[in-house]
Formats: sequence, C-alpha cells, structure tokens
Amino acid sequence: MTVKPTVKIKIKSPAALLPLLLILVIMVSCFNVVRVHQPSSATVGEEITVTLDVEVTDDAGSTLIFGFCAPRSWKASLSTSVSFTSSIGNSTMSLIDPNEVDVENKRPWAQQITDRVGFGGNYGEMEWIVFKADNSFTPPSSTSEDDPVTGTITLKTTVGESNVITQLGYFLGEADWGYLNDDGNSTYFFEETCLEVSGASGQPQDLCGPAPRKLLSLETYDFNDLLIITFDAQEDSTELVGATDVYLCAQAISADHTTERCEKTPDSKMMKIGPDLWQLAIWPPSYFNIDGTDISELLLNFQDATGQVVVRNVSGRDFQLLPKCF
Amino acid sequence: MPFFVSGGSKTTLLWFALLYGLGMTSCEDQSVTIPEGALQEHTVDLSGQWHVVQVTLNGTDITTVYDFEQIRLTLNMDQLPTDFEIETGTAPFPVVENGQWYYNDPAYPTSISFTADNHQRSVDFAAPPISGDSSFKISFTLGCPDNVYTYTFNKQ
Repeated sequence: MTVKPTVKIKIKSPAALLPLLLILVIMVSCFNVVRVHQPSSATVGEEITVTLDVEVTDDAGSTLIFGFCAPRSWKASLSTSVSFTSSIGNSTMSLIDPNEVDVENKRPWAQQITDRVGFGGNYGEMEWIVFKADNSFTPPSSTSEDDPVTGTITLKTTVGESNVITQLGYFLGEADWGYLNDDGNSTYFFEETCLEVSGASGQPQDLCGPAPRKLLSLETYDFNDLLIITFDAQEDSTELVGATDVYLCAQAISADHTTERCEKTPDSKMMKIGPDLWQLAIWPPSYFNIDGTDISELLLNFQDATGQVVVRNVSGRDFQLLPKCF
Repeated sequence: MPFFVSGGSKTTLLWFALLYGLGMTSCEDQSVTIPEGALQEHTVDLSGQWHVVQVTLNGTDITTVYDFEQIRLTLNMDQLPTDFEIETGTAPFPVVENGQWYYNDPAYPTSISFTADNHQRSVDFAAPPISGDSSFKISFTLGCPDNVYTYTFNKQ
C-alpha cells in the first residue's frame, strides 16, 4: 500500500496568507483589463466609442467572449458593435445567440453574468449583452503573465434618448472552456466614473444613486398605461406620517413643454388604503390631456392639504417615473 | 322478364316486392325538411348600451381603484354592426371617439374593431360573446404589451 505524501503548511498569522492569495489570484486570472478609455459624458442619441486594453495571460482557450453592461433603456443589443485587435489576430464579434449556453454550466451567458457579476454600482434597470468572437486564435504556449497576448477591444454603442447617469461594465471570458465556476478564466470591470448622458428635457435617471422608491407595482409600463401610484408615508419616515389627507402633485415632461397638476382637487386626492398608505390611479392621457407617448417622464411629490408639507425623494428631488417598456 | 327472376319463381318476386316496399318506406322516414334560412349563420347580436362592471389588469381586479363606471358604450346594429358611441370621462379605454365597429367574423367573432377618425383599434373578446347575452368581456393593451386590461361590460 502506498501512502500519499502530504505537505503541511503552518500559518503563523493570517497576514502570512496574503502573498499566497495574491499568487493564486494572479495564477488563475486569464484576462487582465489594463486600461479603459470611456467618455464621462455624452449627448442623448450619440454614438460613443469605448476601448479596452487587455492582456491574455495563458494559452487555454481561443474564442473571446465579451459582455457589455448598459441601461436597458438603451436597447444596446440593437446599436452596439464590438471588434478587437491583438498580437495574435484581429476579429469582429457578434451578438451571441441568447440560447447559447456555456460549456461549463450549460446556462446562457447573459443570465450567468447577470447572476454572478451583477450590475456594479447601478441599482438596477441594466442588462448584460454578450458578444462572441467571429474568429478564434489560440495564444502561443509561452503565454504567461510575463509574456501576455495584448489586445484592444473596441466597442461602439448609441446611448439612449433620455438623461441618465450610469456605470458601464465590461466582461471578458472564453467560450472553449466556458464560464468556470471559480471565475478562473474570466474577469470584469466597471468604470468607476459614472457616464452622464444629457440633452433631453427633465432630470436624469441616476442609476448610480440609491434605488428609487417603488411607487408602481407594474414591472413594465409606459404613460398610456393606467398608473396606480402607491405612497407609503412611513417609508423613510416622511413628514406625511399621520397626515389626514395626502395629495399628488405631478408634472408631465414632454419634448416641448411641462404640464403640471398640483392643485388640491378630488382628482389629485389620494385614497387611504392602510395606515399611512395612500393610493391614486391616474391615466396620463386624460390626467394631463397629453398622449402618453409624448410624455418622456413624470415628476411626482406628495403633499398635505395645505401644501406646506411636501415629500420628495431622499435627495430632495421629485420622485421620477420613466417609461419602462422593455 | 326481370333478370333476377329465375325460373319464373313467384316466391322470389314476392320477396323482391316486399323488400322494395320496405326500402321505400325507410327512405321516406329519413327525409328531413329544412326550414328556409335555418342553415344561415347569424351575426352575434351585441347591440345596446353597455357599461363596465369589472376591470382586471394582468389578472388582478382593479375595479375599485378607478371610476370605470364613467365608461358607456353604445353598439348599434342593422343586421350587421354599424356605428358606436363611447363616453369615457377620464377612464382609460382604447378608443375615445365615436365611429364604426365590426367583428372579425360576424357569426363566430374573436375580436371587435372600432374605427374612428381614420384610426382603427381591434380588441379581443376574452370569452366568446353570446348573441343577445347581457354581458361580454374584452381584453386589450393600452401601453406596454405586457399589461393586459380586461373589461367586463354589462347591458344597461
């Protein structure tokens, strides 16, 4: 009978583990994002270009997977192109078939990246779109941290038509081995500076900020839908806790004008449906006398009967509703 | 002489006569008299004045969250659908102006179309309408395609 030799490493202090962990991270990291060139601002509807200088540090795998995390409202899959140049070859990249699964977990790429990477500093309203290289290149066997394959990935995308502040993200992986569960052959990067898109009317949707209060139960809606607005005065301990009447003050923003309904009338009076819980349903086309498709956003606040107490969001701005018809 | 009678058998002729007679009788019993027009398909009759009694949004009853009773729909027919009148107040409905209406199939309609001011909007019946019944149910979207509104109308 043979006995498998064992090696015991005695760790005297947790600090002694750090170099070992660092070595492990470096050894299993197949990709390095060296530098990202991304604009910090853009005008609505503008095409922006982002480049990522990357390194491949081992020779396992040959088919690049690239993910792009963008606001869902941009519909980035319709307006984004990706290509790369590298020391071993150049290629365009194509949107991956949504049903294509990785060989490791047998799940669609976008779904896995969403679950495992998330949306960075964005509170939500984002999506990952995934591209696969049209051409495969096997790195030379000498590829290592000291002798990496270098390359530049170029992404062009058209930003959406509404004002938004968002943190864009990027993912690198490899199709031959799939999305390994130890993340050993993938990496991701979120640009620290949030991109601000401006130029449309109304205040920006700050996806980099705190998640907004959920005023509507509908997952998707636009301004031709019936909007059932629910306001919980106890959330964030607002000054309307204990109020006997609560009114909605609303502005509809469209391309060329703003329509305000801030008067205290039966139409704007909210119905009490529970302790400090208020509800009002409005149908924007009749409430503002504007076709819902012409409304780009709604700005809301809640007031008592005197108008002296006004509740806005925690940052002091009106609550913002943007169409979410994905 | 008939070819089936062999040897001039009277018995054979008698049997034939009997069977023939039975056959004739049987044919007379199977004949059906169809009244004129009985096979014609009739247009489903939804003529009259209707009001909304229930509204669901994606299956959730929202009848009480809005004043849907403002909606009054009058469907006129002259054998076939003709014109309609609609009053909605502030309540949501796919059409807000009077116009013409028609079915996709007069006898077995699955949808109803409203045409007003050169705009046409079709909505589906949520259940097959019954001619002369006192209620019908339609489903439609107003904004996002995920949000399905179902209105139940009762006859006034």
